[in-house]
Amino acid sequence: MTEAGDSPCLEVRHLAKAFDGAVAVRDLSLTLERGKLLALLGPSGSGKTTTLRLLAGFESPESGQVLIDGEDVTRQNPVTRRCGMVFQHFALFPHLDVGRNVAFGLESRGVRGGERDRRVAEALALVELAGFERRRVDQLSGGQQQRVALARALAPEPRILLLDEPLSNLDPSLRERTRGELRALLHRIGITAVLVTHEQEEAFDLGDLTAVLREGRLEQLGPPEELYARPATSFVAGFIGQGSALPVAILGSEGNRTRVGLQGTEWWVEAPIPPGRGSRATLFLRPEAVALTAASAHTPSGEVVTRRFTGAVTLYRVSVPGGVIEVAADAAAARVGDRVGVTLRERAAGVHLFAADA
Amino acid sequence: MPDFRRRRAEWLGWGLLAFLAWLVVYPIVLVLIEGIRDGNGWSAEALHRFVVEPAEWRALWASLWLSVASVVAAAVIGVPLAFLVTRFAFPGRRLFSALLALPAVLPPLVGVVAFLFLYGESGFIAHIVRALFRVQEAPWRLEGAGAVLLVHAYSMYVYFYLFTRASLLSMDASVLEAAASLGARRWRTWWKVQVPLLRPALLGAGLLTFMTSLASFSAPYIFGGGFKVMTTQIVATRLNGDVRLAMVETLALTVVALVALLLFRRAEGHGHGRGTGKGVPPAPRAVRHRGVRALLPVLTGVVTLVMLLPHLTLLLVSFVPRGTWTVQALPPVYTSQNYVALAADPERLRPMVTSLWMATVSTLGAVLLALAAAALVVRRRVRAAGMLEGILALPWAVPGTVFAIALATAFSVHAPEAGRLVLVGTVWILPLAYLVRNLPITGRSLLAGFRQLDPSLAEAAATLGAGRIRTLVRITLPQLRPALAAGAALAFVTALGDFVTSIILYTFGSRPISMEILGSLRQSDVGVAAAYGVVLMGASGLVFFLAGDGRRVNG
Repeated sequence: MTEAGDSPCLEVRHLAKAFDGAVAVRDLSLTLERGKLLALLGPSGSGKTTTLRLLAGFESPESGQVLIDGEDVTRQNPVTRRCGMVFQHFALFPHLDVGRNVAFGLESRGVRGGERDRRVAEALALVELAGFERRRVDQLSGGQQQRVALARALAPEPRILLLDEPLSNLDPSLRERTRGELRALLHRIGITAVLVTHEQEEAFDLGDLTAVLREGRLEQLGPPEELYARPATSFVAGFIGQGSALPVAILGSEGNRTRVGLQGTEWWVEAPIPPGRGSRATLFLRPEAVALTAASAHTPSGEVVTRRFTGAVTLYRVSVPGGVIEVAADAAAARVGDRVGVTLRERAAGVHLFAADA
Repeated sequence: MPDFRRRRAEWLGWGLLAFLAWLVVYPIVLVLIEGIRDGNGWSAEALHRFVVEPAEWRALWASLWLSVASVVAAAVIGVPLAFLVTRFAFPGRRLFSALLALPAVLPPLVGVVAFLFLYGESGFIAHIVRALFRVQEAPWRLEGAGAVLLVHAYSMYVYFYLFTRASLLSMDASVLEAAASLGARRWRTWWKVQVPLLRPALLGAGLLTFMTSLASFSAPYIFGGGFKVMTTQIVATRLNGDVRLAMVETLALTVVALVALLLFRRAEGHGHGRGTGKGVPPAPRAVRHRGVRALLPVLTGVVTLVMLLPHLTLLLVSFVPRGTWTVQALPPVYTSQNYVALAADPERLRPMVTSLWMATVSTLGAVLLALAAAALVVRRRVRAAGMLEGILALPWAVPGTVFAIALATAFSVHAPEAGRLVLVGTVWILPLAYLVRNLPITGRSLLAGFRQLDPSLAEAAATLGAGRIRTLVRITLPQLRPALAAGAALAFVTALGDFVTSIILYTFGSRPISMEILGSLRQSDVGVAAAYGVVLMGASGLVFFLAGDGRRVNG
């Protein structure tokens, strides 16, 4: 959905990369419009950092292309790509002070003298470290180091900013505040950015779009609301938010409703039959889509194995034939060890059916 | 800590400091004093003779430029080799990387003797040249400043190699990537990032090479000929019986060593703190160019072979019976008789037994003293901590020859009220000298070991009811095992192969291996000398292997 005549800021086409035969990224394609922030989200080993390094040019892909501003940079090395990068451990030059760290990229591009000093000061002011030029980097706090790394990456005015887990190296108490500052700054300067994270909250908070990666494959790309409400696979559903997945048999359908069988009991669920062959499927239920009821032969029933009080709701895990269902209910609904039944709420959102192998 | 234990620790600290001062500082002070005294009281006569004698200044100048040149030559060999085996991927990289570090475990005298057998006028290369070109004499003489410098470069490149390799392996790859992503091309990344990050390693290796070269005795003694440096000058003067002039010379060399140490420390002071990264080092890069890729293992193999050739030659010569290798390119006869002679002849066996027990005793002593000092410095933080640490490191800055002279001075008089005993001429003077010389080695490794220990481990043991002895034996010592093993191994090997202090302090009855090697060479018993060298090499290698194994077991 690009404007006519304007190419997307970042375009990735069928990118693939393997290390010694182990596939890290497979057939990855995506586009990112100017000024948007993309979060690459996935568990460790999902290929998100490799993807970022492919964008930066530190790794070269087996196949596929990377285009920045419509220009094919796949065969360019990092030196000429003009991607700013914030490294996970910041990678500040320990032998240079703050000002010289920030000036480094400017000098590489031939910016010298007063112009360089002015832009260094500007970049430092942007991250609220004005006047820190002559400080040694090992005398800075973690949050300050992170901001210097950001200023250093931004000073040469890169075409795109890449951030590798930029908050993971900070204290938890500092992380939330820094995240807010980072979001405000990135939106203020309107730069196109790609961010790697393994935390869903961070991805949703910072990214306009989130790409969920799993074993090197792009599972789903979209705004946070869409990922939560309409997950494309049971992996996305499980990785984003809570819920339980159960194997079910498909017994029939009627419009947008599907009749499924769970170990002797049957349910009508508000979801279409998933594409693909076979009569097996995976039923995914958000905790708020189900409720507790009395145990009976007509509904999946079992023992409450854990009870977790989280404030607004209490989460119960009920062991039913074929799996465990997580149910949100009020604090007095049941105790651990009680036998209960699980029932679907009326017209509940948060019920998804996926093909059995997804 | 209860008050009385605090006080006891303080007293122990001062006591240990006094004892170490008596061992390390007092002998040097005595040398300084006796250099400016004669039978009738204070006199600057020896000092005056030193100042007006051009040969003395020549020797001092020779020591100085030789050391600077050795640093440059060793760096030129060692630094590129370190880059080669860490930054480029090629078959055999790990093997060459390990083999190139081997000379680090060899005693200097063994290296020098091996060099003689390889490049000397009647060495291996000379044999081949004579056989090939049918000439009577080798067209070179391995003598003078050039020969000494060659030996130094050959044996000291390993400092630059090891320091640079370690630094390259601990470098954070993302720092180099950051430079690239900021648009720095390869040479700019190299000069602006890589070299500054290597600076501490280069300075460290430079200092070590400079001090080793300044203190070097074996190479100038055997290859120097008319080329005199300060260490050989001191020994020569002393053998001539001019004890007071030798003391002034000792003083001059000490001053040069201390000034050099200060200059290096100042250069280090301009350095920087540690990086912010905890990242991984850059992976070795595959070489794209096919020709270069094929050439790299060959080239590295040849360089490795050249660097190890002296020691291989030593092994070869140790199997050659006396007088059989005359005009042939390769020795015509091989036997094990040289080794049999070492074991069968009691007079030949004795130096080995002597060296072994002396090295063992001195290592034990140096380890125990360092252990006590490190515990007091790091754990108890006694008030004498700074001085204790300084005094442990001091013998390192003072050339071995100087220490030998100082100990020979201090322990040649019976004056218990002045803290002086007659030890010279007894079997105890050499173990004592080895012990003092090894204090910096064991001291440094144990201080580092203690600093890496988590003090809460000992506290946890205490809360679990373990007493001080039990905590030491069950918790602290096992944790310190890598540091203990590394320090003790290096100290043991240094003592086992010591030449520079031995030549001044030995007695015939307690002569160590190094003196026997020298004796065998003088009697042209080359095979036996080589066999002794191989035994030293083997023992050193074995000790390092065992110590390294301990480190591995410890994780």
